[in-house]
Formats: sequence, structure tokens, C-alpha cells
Amino acid sequence: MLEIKDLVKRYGKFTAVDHLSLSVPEGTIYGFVGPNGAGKTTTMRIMAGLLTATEGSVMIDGIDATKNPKALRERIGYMPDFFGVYDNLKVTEYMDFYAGTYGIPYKERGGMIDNLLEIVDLTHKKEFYVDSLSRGMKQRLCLARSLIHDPSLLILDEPASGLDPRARVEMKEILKQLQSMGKTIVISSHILPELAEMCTQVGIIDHGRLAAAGSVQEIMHRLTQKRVIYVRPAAEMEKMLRILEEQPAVQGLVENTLDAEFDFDGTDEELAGILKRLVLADVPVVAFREKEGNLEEVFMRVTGGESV
Amino acid sequence: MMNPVLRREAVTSLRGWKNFAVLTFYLGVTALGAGMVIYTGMFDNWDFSFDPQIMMVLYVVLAAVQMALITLTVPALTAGSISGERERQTLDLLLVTKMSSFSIVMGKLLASLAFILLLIVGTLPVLSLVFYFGGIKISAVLLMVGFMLMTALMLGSISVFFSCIFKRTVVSIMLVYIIMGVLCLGTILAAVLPLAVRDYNAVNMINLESEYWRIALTLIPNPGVAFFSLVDAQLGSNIVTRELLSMLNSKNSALNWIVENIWMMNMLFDAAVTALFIALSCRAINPVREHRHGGAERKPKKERKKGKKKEAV
Repeated sequence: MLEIKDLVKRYGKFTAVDHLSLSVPEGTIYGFVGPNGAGKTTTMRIMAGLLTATEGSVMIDGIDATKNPKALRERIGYMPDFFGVYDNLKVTEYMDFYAGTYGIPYKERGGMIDNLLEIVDLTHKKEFYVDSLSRGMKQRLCLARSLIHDPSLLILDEPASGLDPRARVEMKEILKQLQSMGKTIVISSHILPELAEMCTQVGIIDHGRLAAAGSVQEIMHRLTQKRVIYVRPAAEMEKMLRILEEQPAVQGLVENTLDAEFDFDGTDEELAGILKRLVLADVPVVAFREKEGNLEEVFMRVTGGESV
Repeated sequence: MMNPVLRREAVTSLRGWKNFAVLTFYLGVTALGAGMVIYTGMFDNWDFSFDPQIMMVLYVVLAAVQMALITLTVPALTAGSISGERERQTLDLLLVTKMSSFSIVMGKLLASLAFILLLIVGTLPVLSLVFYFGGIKISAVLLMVGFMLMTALMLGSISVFFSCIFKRTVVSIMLVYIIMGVLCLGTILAAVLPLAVRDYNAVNMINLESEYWRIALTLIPNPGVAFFSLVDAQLGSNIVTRELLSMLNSKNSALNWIVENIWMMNMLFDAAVTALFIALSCRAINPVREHRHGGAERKPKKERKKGKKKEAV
């Protein structure tokens, strides 16, 4: 679907993107993560045909984006990190305007706009002026706008930035729905945990280079020697600690009042085996999970300790 | 299908009361002025006879006011067309659509000029009063409107180009007014000053014929000279054309024809400038223009120079 090879973008002596290569299969939600200034927006602008690459190629559906921008524009829907809206324009007129820019005939627009507004849950705002909408609504409207010509690839640059938690959840739901409709989505964020939940694949970019790529689990496994596991029994704490200490993959067991934590260096199967042993030994396990926050640690390690 | 940019601007610009108020005020003042001229012309004479000459004056004054309106307001209206989109952060959204650079530039240019066009078309009935009372043909009125539109397009295309290359609208406005100053005053100075200097150095022999050509050609871009040349051609008046002919006193028929038709030459000049600046604007806003011709992206100036030096070594 999307194939980036040896992409380089230089501004004078500054290299914003440095021999970046990545591949996004069809139907996936690809998370593009990196700290501010890592080169995410530059890469996405090249993908969208808004910037020329100094070197390298971006192929979308087999089309070289840098050589055939017109064909590219039919296939991609782009949502920038910052965008504005026009004054004195109603939501339906806004959508109608962009439908016009893609050459969609007048008679086809009405139903199409209604469908898209329904997807982004803005049907009740269709007669409102665009500049009166909240930030979250504007983001959703911009997403609907990027879908107006039914593109196969969506490039979304930080769509969740500046949104409150509720609006973020709504945005995630919409993206999942779009994935189920067969869209391939490339989405960027400077916060890895935010993307981890919904992305099938993640690429971590730092100083213009791809530092790590793969599924979240793969990256975690590759980059963390130890995973921190949290376990809480309803009772039988002593028995649980004894069983855990016997396991060779369990290290650094820490006992708290009601729960315990340990570093685990092993496979998922081995971890499942430990849980099975605890249950078979009649330890009433209430919680047994990998501790959150590790993603951020991974991210910090990969990106050289820059703040997220 | 109507240009979407033009369509959107048409929907939004007439929303609200501001433009409506400006249109009403302008048409009101124009109609009142015309009414007063006609009233004075009719009732000042003891026998209520009507002097058609007054209508000629009315025509020239109205047309001159429209011309001044165009030259003064077009830069302000168009200089923010593209930079405004950039400031509003809507330009990228427009550039990723299927619209060509040409459609975007034309949409923005025509949308910015649409209001001026509305004012000009709105005053057509008043201008046509001259036709009603006799004295001038309707085709002449339409030609005058066409001339004004061409001037507006020329100034507008220059403004749009500056709007494409400068981030700040104010810079674009300033530059267009400077260019307008050069066209209106600079060309007259360029035509006349060398003559004054040469008069003092009368000992120098000069080729009169080439000097006449220089003066005539220098005055062609001047919108004011062209406007009054058109008025002269339409009314047979003597504002610039005959003055220029007698000043040059050339026997070259081609030169005399150009002097008599400066307005026509000016319209051709305006058309060429408009085409040039529209093409330049399209180039300026196209983000991937280099690759369209299969070439690599241009390196920054410094790097290009370094590259040349290395190649030379």
C-alpha cells in the first residue's frame, strides 16, 4: 500500500528526514511516533504531495508520489496537524466546497456529505457555522473532509493533539470504524501509549531516522529485556511469592502490602505458564498484567531520553 | 462546474451586512451625483432645454471615479488572497485536493475581484443614463467597462503573485502600490524627463523618430493615459491623444496609430502581464513543481554555488 524507500529531506545543512524506509500494508493503522521535531510532519507532508523529497521515493499503490502528485491526491486523504476553517461557512457548505475541489458532481454530494457527517457524529451540527464548532468537532469535520473523495489511504498528522480525553476516545472510535471500512491509516503522535492501543503497526522516528518498527508487542519485546509484571492475589500472598521465586524467568520480586511486582525475562507462553501454576496452586489471583508505563520507557530509550 | 473557490467566496462574501452596506453606499452616492448633474442640466436653463454635453462630462467623471476605485482598491482586495489562506492555515487543505494550481489561482483572483465587478456592474445603469440621454453608444459603455476589468485583472494578478510569494499580506499590498505608482507616475517621468535633460544639452543630436517611439511605448503601460486615450477615442475629446500627437508631430503612420490607440495597446499589455503573473503564481503555489518536469529538487543557493566550484575543480 505505502512503501517509503530511503527518504531524505534536507533544508540547507539541516537534515529533517534521514534515509527513512518503511512499509505500511493495506488495511492497517500505522502509528508514526516520535518526539517533536523528529521529522514526522515532514515525512507526512512529502507523502501528501505538499513537499518534495531531496532523495528517495514514496510509492502509494504502486504510484510514485513525487512524480505523479495528481494520481496521488485521488488516493490519499490528508489531515494536517494545524489547520484553519473559513468564516461564514456552514458545515454542509464546508463539505460541499471540498467535494467541489475533488470534482464530485453536485447531485452526488448531498448523500455523501450526510454519510460522512454521520461517521464523524456531526449530523446534528450540519447547519452550524464551522468557526463556531469546538476543537474536537473541527478535528472530526476535518477528518470527514479528508474522506470526501473516498481515499484508500488516510494520512493523519497528530489528530488527537489538543483534544480532551472524551474527544480522544471519540476520535479513536472513528478511526477503528474507518479501519473496518478497509481504509489504511497512517497516524502520527508524539505520545506512544496514545497510539499503542489502536495501531496494528508502529514506527518510532527520531532525528529523521526510523529507530524501531513493528507491532507494539514486537518493539517492546525487542527493546526491553525485562518486562515488569504486576500481580495481586485476594489472599495466599506467601504461597504466591514462594511459587514466583521458584520461576527462573522471574527476577527482582518486590513485595508490597496487597500486591507484588517482578521483572520477567521470557516469552508470553512462559508468562502464561506462571499464571497457570498460581491458579492450579489455588492462589486466588485477582490481577495479573504487564505494568503500564513501560511503553513510555521504551519510547524514551529509543528516542534518546527526550521528553514525551 | 463553477470554480469551487469562487463559489465558496460568492456564498460567504455576501453574508453579513458589510459588503451590502458598501454596495448600497457606493450606488447611492453614484446615483445621487448623476441625479444632481442631470437635474442641474435640465433646470438651469430658462427654457428647460437639455445640453447633452453635460452627459459627456457625467460619463467621464463616473468612469474616472470607477477607474480610481479599481486602482486603489484592487491591490487591497487581492493582495491577501493566497497569503490569507496561508495565515488561516487553509492553503495546505486546498493544495492536497484535485484542484490544479491554475484553478486555485484563478478562483482566488476572480473571487477577490468579484466585489469590484459587482460595484462596476451595479453602476452600469447609471453609466447607461448617458446612453439614454444620447451622446454615446452602449457599445462604448461596455468597452469602457471591459477596459476597467482588464486593468483590474492586471493589478489583481500582480497582487495574487505577491500574495503567493510573501507570507505577509501587508508586504504584498505595499509592493503592488509601488508598482502602481511606477505605472501611473514612473512611466510619465520616464517619458518626459529624458526630454527635459536633452533640451538643456541641445547640442547633442538625437534621433527624433526613435525618441518618439520611446515616448509612445513608455506611456503604453500607464493606466491613466490609456483611460483618457479611450475617453478621447469615444468622445472625440482632446485630453491626451491629440496633445501627444501634436507634441510628437511624427509623420510615421504606425507611430501615430499607436498614439491614437494607446488604450488598445494598454489592454494588450495588461493581458500579457495578467497571463505572465497568473503563470508565475501557479508556479509559486505548486508544492511539487520541480518533479513535474522530472528534475531534482533545487538545492539552496549556497549549495548550488559550492557544487559548481567542486565541478570546476
